[in-house]
Amino acid sequence: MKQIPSSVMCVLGLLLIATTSACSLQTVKPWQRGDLASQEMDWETDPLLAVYRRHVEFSKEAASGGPVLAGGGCGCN
Amino acid sequence: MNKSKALMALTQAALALPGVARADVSVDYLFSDYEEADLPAAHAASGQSSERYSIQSHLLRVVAPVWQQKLGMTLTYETMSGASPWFVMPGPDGRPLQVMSGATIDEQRVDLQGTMTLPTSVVDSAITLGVSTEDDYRSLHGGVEVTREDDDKMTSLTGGLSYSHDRLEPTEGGSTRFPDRIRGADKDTLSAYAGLTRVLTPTTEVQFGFSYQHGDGYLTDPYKMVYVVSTATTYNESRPDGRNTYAITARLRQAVPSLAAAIHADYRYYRDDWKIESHTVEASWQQTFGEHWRVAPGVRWYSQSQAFFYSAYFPDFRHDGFASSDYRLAPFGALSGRLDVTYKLQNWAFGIGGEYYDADADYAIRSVKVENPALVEYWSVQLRIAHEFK
Amino acid sequence: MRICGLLLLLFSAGALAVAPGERAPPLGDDAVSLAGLHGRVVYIDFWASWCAPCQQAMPHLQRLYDDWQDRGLTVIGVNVDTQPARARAMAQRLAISFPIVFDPHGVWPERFDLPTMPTGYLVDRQGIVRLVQKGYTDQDFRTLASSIDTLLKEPSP
Repeated sequence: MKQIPSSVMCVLGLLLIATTSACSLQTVKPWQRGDLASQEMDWETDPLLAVYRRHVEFSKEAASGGPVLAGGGCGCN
Repeated sequence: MNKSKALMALTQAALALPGVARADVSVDYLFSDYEEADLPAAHAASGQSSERYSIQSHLLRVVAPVWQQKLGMTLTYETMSGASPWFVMPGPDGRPLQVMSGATIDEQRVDLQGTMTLPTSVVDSAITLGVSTEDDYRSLHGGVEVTREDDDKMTSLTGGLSYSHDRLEPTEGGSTRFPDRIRGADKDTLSAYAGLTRVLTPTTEVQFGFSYQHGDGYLTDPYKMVYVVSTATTYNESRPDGRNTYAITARLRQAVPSLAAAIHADYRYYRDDWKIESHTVEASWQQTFGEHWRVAPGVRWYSQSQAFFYSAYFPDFRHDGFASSDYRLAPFGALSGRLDVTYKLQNWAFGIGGEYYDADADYAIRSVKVENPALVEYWSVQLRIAHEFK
Repeated sequence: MRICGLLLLLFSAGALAVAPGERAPPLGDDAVSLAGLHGRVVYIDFWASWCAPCQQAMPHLQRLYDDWQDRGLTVIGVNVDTQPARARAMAQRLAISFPIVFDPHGVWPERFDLPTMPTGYLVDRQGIVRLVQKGYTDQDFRTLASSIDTLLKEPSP
């Protein structure tokens, strides 16, 4: 962890604090969630496509990880 | 490899939908054709261009209510053919040239995983189990994920833990042709993830995540070799038997209701103890037209630094005995663009999409002294069909 | 009566969520007003086109309305879409005949302090809220139907 550049940690840390500080946000009421509920606002608009793309990226690049659990490996060349 | 997308979709779907959605059966199918561009003659030791990988993938996912829970199963069937990079040697002017494996690989991969929500009260949770097999590879993995949402539904926390045990039995291991190739080896991987999702406004959501992975066992690629100049000979590559990786992610979903669209922006910072550091930035514009159409162009930029034991070719042996010239451990950057079009009609959805990807030393965040000759370039096309049984 | 309702709205914007046992707020607009429905059993269903369980509930509520309208049941659908066009299309597609009120500014959800989407309020013949239905499941609907049946059996004031 100490190898992650402090600049990256700083920016992300500030973003995290800014967006999670409760006092600055008005609760979005259940009936105001129409835009959030639309499919184009999904974290993954097509979950199966996301599964496929992550597999390709994992096979062709060194980096892995992200907002999901890692799965089994493959002998991908 | 991503078993947990199904899991995320289940748990997040249950939470994001207002009220309690009745569980319906849904089926999704995806077909993809992936074609790598030929290795250019100028990069090949043979002086001739060489074909690379061609992969056809079929993915089928079924989600159904089972015992008052939600069960999701995803089956993947993939066929791969083509030549793959074998080792890199210096050309007459010292430039690294790629030697490809002569034989055309013809392989299949089958992967099956299931995710099931669990009847827990305080938190939402799900377990996942999966198996994956290839001609030379077997993997068994399992995981658990929990999610807890605030009463006002503004914040949710997710945590997950998974474990994978992989067994590799390389083709032609210990054979006459490759006497030094291992016959079999194991690998264990433990990974953990924590995430926070926050609704900021009626049109904005952000998500932050942290993931960690610990790999133990045989992490080397048994088919790849390295060239040592001092002995003018090739040797099996060798990687450390442990690897710790970290990733931090930040994602944004911003609705633009006046344009009937939404912006997606994702960033990932990655770091491991093989000294590889990478940045990934991805953005897409989700544009809807009427009730039926969605068109989503997207771009992605990726950059990575090299592993400490990587070199295109090696003047001499390393003291620690590690060595690899695998392009995936090389310094490079990649740019890709994609376009996805989806048409929805009643309970059906049809999609078509394509991506172009190009890896090049010039796209990396820092200047690269020696570009690996096997950096990949590919085109891929997808077809999708989905149906919900109501 | 409508002015009363409006005043009540203005002064009680921060009121607590409407709960069983309380008098229902005087929901009203040009076409529909709770005051005008005194003596009938009213089910107020807050819904939106973007809410999947709302969509699942509607046909069932329509059926109840068809069967028991003559016994004294009125169903009012309060739609909270910010763009009512989509909601109109959905109501037409589902062949909804019970009255629909369009509230794109979320005035009434605010007044009721709606806990989730969908939420339904079952109001008896005296104007008292007897049941708050949060979310929708087939199981919940069976309970709701039997509660409505019981309330319909109560005499008119």
